[in-house]
Amino acid sequence: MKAGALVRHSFLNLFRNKRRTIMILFILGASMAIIFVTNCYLAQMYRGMRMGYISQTGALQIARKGFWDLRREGDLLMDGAAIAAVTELLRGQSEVARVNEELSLQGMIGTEKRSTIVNGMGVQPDKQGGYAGYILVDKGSTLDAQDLEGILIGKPIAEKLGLDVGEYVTIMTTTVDGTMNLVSARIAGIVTTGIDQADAYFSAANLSFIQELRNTKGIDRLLVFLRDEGDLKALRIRLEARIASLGLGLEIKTWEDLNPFYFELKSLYDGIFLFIKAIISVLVFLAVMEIISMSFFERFRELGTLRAIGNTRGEILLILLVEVMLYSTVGAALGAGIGVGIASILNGFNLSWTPPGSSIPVPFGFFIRAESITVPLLIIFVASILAAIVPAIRSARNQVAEVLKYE
Amino acid sequence: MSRRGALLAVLLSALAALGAEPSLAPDRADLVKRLVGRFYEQENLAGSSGKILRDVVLVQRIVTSEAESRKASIVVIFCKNPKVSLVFLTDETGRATAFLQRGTDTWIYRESLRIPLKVSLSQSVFGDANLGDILGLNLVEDFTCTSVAEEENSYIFQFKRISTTYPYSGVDVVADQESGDFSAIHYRSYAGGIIRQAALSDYASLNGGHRVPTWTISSLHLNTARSTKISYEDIKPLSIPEAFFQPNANSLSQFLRWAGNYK
Repeated sequence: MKAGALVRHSFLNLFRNKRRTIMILFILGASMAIIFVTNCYLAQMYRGMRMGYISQTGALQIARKGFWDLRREGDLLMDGAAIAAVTELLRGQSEVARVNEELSLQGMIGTEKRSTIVNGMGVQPDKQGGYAGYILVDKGSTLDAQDLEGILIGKPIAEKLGLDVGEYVTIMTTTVDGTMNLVSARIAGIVTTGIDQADAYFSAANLSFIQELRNTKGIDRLLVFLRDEGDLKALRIRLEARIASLGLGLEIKTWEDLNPFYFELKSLYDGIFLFIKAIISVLVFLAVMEIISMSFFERFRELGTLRAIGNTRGEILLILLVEVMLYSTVGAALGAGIGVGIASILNGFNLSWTPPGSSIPVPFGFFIRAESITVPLLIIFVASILAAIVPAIRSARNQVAEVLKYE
Repeated sequence: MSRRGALLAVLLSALAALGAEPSLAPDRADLVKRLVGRFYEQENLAGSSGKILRDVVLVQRIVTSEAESRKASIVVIFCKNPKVSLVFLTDETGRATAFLQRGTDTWIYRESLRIPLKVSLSQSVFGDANLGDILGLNLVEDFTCTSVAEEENSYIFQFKRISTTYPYSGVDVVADQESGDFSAIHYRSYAGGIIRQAALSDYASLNGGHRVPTWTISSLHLNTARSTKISYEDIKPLSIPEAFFQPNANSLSQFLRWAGNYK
């Protein structure tokens, strides 16, 4: 049989039992759509998380060697000379969009009525990114570079201390040489970071205010923001070599090093959705096998006739497998269309939801991209072919005489 | 009482007996009372009840020693009674800080502040010394002795806190059997482990009759080689204006100026 005739034969078989064809296309299409939409949702979630982390920590951070060592004792600050040298070096890199300076603060905040522990930071309000990338002002305003005594505090701190915008608080901490220091600050804004536990300790103020409180001109780290994600690895290697040549005892971490939680969460979700995909694959396999077996069984005599007029077993097997491929192609195309439609419609609603432990709603959307089709397409084709191969072989192997006698 | 009620009462009393602290034998209780009373009487700040008898001012010097550095500070304590006191502390930069204690509430204040800050008694104020250390330990009013043990030439008294607001769950006091002097105090965390310790040494007479030790405090929790010494330099009676003992910026600001002049 010629290839054209073979495909035509297989194609015409799609219309032989329309109800069955609709059923198999529905199963394949629905499975394709579910896996595709899930992939788009995961891609959107991972993209959102990645962008969120990068906007908070910068794509890279530079600090003194050992700064990120959990066992370190005391402060490891970059002094003015190190800041100037590294900033100058970064200014020469075309990928770098801006560089933010940060200095942390651990201490107590409160009034004459009560106090609580605070985990704050000194930031540069006139620069985008860093703290500004993940806070939402609940009351008051954000920091102003000119307002040196203004401070932002987490909503739970304000509630615990009974404070409102414009009121004064006292902050107590130790200077870099270990001496206790106290200062008054005015609440400029009450904010949320999106994570309740972080809000309970959050505070941010102008870098110069925190430097004065801690009696230093130094900083903990430089946050480096890039124009686009680009080749982070190559940039890191290049910067490491240049920074090492400065001999300042500094080290670089990427946002990936600083946010291991992203990868832990990603592998958890990947594991869960791999399990779901496996279940869908098994369901597709069983459903297709059942329907295809029935379809081939009904055509026992017809297949026998094809053998009797000279078609080989291989040609019969090919006809049946091409038929399944056509089912898969049409089903996958329908599923992809439905998936893209559902994802686009839902994206249009601009939905949001509040994840557990978060206090800020996050967008509920779907990142529609070509890569999201690959896996469902493979699942549909592989599961369908595997499901059809056994009944197809069995149908093709039957003896012509026996098949023609079959009632 | 019904039979069921009687049974319940018996059960409850049995449970109470199981949970209750074992009371000390009379001779042990007398020993604790005598040595604790003596500790306070020697300082001549308090009666055997542990209660400070009159307005008094104590001048202490705190020195924190680390591997290569030493930092010193002067502390002046103005006591109305054991539960109400004001501390005037000047650090090595000369900055003055006021601490007001009223019962278990404590405030910290500096001249430049708009409002004082309420802090815990366990707040470290200089080196490893916290306010509780500077203001002293009241073994009579804040603690109850639960056991007495003997080890070579020492008694070891285990005290459990009475007030839940006290920063430690209990303290172990080591006293010399011959002299009766306290030689060490170990502070226990809520989990029961020892997290800080104070060595009491070099008992010396001061201003006719006061016999006071030098306290060397170290934090086991921080695992550093740092230690903080508190030694007495002066103890004398003084009339202290009542208006200073308020937790607001105005009162504490007045106190800082007054104490600064006194110093």
